[in-house]
Amino acid sequence: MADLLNVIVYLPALGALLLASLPPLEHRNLKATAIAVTTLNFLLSLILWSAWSPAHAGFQFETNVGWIQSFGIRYHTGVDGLSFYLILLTTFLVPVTLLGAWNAVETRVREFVIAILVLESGMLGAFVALDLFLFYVFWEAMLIPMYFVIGVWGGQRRVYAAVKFFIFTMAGSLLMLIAILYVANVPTGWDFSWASAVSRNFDPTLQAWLFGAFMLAFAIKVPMFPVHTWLPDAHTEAPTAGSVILAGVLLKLGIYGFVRFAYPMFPQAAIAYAPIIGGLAVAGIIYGAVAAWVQPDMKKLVAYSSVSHLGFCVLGVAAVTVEGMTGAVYQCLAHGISTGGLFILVGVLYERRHTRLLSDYGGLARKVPVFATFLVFTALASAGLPTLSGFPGEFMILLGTFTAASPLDQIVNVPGLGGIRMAQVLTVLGATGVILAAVYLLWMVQKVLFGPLQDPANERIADLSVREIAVMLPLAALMIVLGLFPGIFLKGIEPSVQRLVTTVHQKAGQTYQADAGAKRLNWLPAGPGARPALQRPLRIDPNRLRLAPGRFDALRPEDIRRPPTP
Amino acid sequence: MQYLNALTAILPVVVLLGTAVILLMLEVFSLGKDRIWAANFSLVGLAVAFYFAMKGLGAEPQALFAGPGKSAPIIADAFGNLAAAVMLAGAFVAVLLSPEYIKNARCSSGEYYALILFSVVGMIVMAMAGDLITFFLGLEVMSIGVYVLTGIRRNDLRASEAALKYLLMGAFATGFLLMGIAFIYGATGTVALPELARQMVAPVGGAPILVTGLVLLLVGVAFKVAAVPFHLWAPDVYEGAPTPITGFMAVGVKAAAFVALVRIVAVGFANSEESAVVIPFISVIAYLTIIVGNLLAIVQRNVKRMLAYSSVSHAGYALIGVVALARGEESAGAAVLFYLTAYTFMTLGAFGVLVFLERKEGGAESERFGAFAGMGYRHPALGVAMSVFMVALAGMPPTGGFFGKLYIFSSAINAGEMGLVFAGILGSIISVYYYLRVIVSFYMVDVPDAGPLPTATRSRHLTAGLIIATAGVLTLGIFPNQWIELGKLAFKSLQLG
Repeated sequence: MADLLNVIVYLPALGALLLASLPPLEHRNLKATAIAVTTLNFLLSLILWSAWSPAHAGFQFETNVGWIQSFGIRYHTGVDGLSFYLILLTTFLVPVTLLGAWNAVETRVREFVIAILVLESGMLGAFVALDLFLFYVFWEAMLIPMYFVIGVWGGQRRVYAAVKFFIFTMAGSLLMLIAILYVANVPTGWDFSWASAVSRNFDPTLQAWLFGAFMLAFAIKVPMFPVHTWLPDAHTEAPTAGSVILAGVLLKLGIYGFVRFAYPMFPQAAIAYAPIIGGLAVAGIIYGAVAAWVQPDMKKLVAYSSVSHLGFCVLGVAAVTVEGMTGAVYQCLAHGISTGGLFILVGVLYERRHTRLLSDYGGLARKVPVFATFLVFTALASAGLPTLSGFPGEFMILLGTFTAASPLDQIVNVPGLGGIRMAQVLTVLGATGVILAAVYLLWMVQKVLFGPLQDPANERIADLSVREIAVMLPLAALMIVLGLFPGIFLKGIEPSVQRLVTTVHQKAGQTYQADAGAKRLNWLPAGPGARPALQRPLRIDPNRLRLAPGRFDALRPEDIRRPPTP
Repeated sequence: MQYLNALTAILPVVVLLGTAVILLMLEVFSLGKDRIWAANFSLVGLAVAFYFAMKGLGAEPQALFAGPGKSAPIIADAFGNLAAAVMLAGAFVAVLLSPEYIKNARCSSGEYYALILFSVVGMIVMAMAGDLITFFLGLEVMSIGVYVLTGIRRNDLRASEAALKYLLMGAFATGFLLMGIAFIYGATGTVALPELARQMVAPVGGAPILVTGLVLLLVGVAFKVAAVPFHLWAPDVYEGAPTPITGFMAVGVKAAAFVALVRIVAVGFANSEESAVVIPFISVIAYLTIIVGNLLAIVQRNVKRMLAYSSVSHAGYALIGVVALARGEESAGAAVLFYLTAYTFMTLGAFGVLVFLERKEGGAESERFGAFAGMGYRHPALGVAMSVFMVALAGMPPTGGFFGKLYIFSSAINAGEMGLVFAGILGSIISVYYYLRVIVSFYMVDVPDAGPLPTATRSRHLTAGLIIATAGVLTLGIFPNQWIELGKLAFKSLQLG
């Protein structure tokens, strides 16, 4: 089955090679071939799912062979609960996207499908890489096809958006490269393996710097406030297919990087800087939501909603609790489906009217009932309506942030305000993001679908075609499944998250300086060394930390026992 | 007999000299108008020389042509042979690019290929030089060939300007270099590298003289590699020279100078206090070269000039490795060699694409970014190749350019040169912008309807050259292990000898 995993990673690239070497084909045949290849890949990943044991917390389907021995670089791949469902998401979204883009891309079709296929291989490779060098190669290589997708098939300011996207990401990545070189430089020479990196223990100051370098690279990708500025440009200019893949998968690689690399490698720094990361996450949630609210352009609105929704993921990760991190990974899946759907629907309107301005629409509900149904449905899923996909993830994240086991739960001394309880403030502020999401998404729905039909051009607008329904139906089905039966996915995510959270807390605890007297953390923390991060060291019983699928109240306060103050 | 044995140790040089002399003699008969045969003959010579260079990797280091009681002027070791192999590969690709250019520019001239071969001889001598005088001789042999090649399009104003500029600047550089050697001799009483190393261990009297000599020597080398602030000649010369020669110059001359520098630093000046004094000097040059080279490349409108500044900035990255080496970080020597190899392929490849796209009568106009609009669709394979070269020059995986930078940066981190590493990172980020511009004009600019198509003559030589360059860039990026091991082996031989 390890071979199957490698096949899944490289099959799209092989398909691209095939398409590149074939004699000129008709556009429809090119698209059909690409869809066939990616659908086959999705089916293969379903076969992999059947062989996958969700209860196992460690890596499965591992390949580990020597590659560049002089540098201790190995070709090491494998999946666990953190990455497996993201792989499924990727292989699912790509054929759906290609089908959605059937009419959208009419020029340079061969190059387009090649770029998308190479992109899929790059993303899958980044998810399965268990060697820092291999991860970096995929992480960077992925940039190139995305750059082409935005720059060639994008809108008016496509070149600006593409170059901005590229340079932002590259700047973060290069700093991460330096950090990787530091981490891989073990006393015996070079070792780029993930396992070795996670087993190392860095002194607090160095750890803070390395954590910062990794976080910057991932934060740009997510994108976290305030390094999100490339995203609205990239999304607005990218073709629909590019937007769907960008929002659906690429951004998730940032969150994945947090949980796979930054947190287990530098746990002390992760816990010490949790308030900052959590604060920026909440800032992103609210800023993204407010910015989305005022956008006149639908696509920009959805783009900013991504900033807001991904802020939830970051908040969940920053909490370093099982609920929070499970919720973050779950939210990644849910956001990929619902935002992908929103982008496709916006693309549908754009194809018909060649405008994305909210003010150009209104009253469409009577003209295009099928479209209206899907739009309302997807918007509600994105807004986190219970029983739809957005809800479980956000709920778990907020729960995980609030819980007493979180490093966010500390009293922070803010000048002028006195001591505030970080976790509660962040949770409350984060929860307003859920409300704001409902506001801006329903605002969009109302502006597009309801009210008087003023523009005569909207009279002749056509409803969804059979192809477009075929694109939206599986997405809608998944929104329901993700909303009603989160256990299907949680049972696979949770053991790996459990392992991750335990590792982070244990490793961070190794050098815990139990400082019972220090109750307040001065703003800002000087560095992990000077940090009495928690009021008292927490002792978490790993056996009780297990979260049953579908039960969010599994972690009871008595599970976390504070040692009595001496 | 002894000399005959010595000659077998430097067979690459012997083969090249033989090929070049035969070429010159055959030229008398003026066979064929476009002299494809001359290109083919040079290719054979270069290939045979390459074979012997690779074969020489396994041999014991040999000190050659030493007079009684004197040190050897030529040291044939694995390092010299590996460096020779890199330069021979570079020359091979440069020759492959040439027939197409010669046909377009109508600068057919029989000496062309022979001069390339003579230059390579000079480069190999530099790489194997056991003392500073031999190093100087090699440098001159190399330079004279390149001076003439720069101006080989006699009737072209830009070419003549370039040749004259290069000659005058080169003469200056040579002056500095010789002066430096003289100072070093004055301070230590020797020019032989192993002897210098011995002299340096004991505190040398007159250290200021030695430091002055070292600095002057470095200035001379900095001229040759076009390091800032000694780079001012480079853009004009690169622009004016025939494009294949620009490529040859950018990779060959640079590689030879760096390889010689690595040998001089590693053998002659390792572990000496005086060399520590000049480290800040090299560091400052490296900082300037990376930052200024990249910033100036941004504002260029002519792709050839952009590539000239890009080659300036790449000299800066290689200089990071030299600083690390001077700090005593051993992996840096192999890192520089690896970087130069990757740089050879990606730069020659980029110039090869230019050769393909330059219009017959276009002049400087045909080298503007705008002239390449939509090329990626007119010539799909060429577009892919150019994208690979640009991505490699920008230092992205999975290319040799990426691994070379990783290697250099890792050795610099080991040597504790974080400042230079950050400068390198900053430079790489800046460079992304102008390398992407080439891809932008290839793929993302709306194709103008008017305007004649550039000549799309299919030259087999050119195609082969581009394939070799692409394969080299990708192989070094995806399977670099073999070449890393060879580099390490070569650097070890340097320390033995």
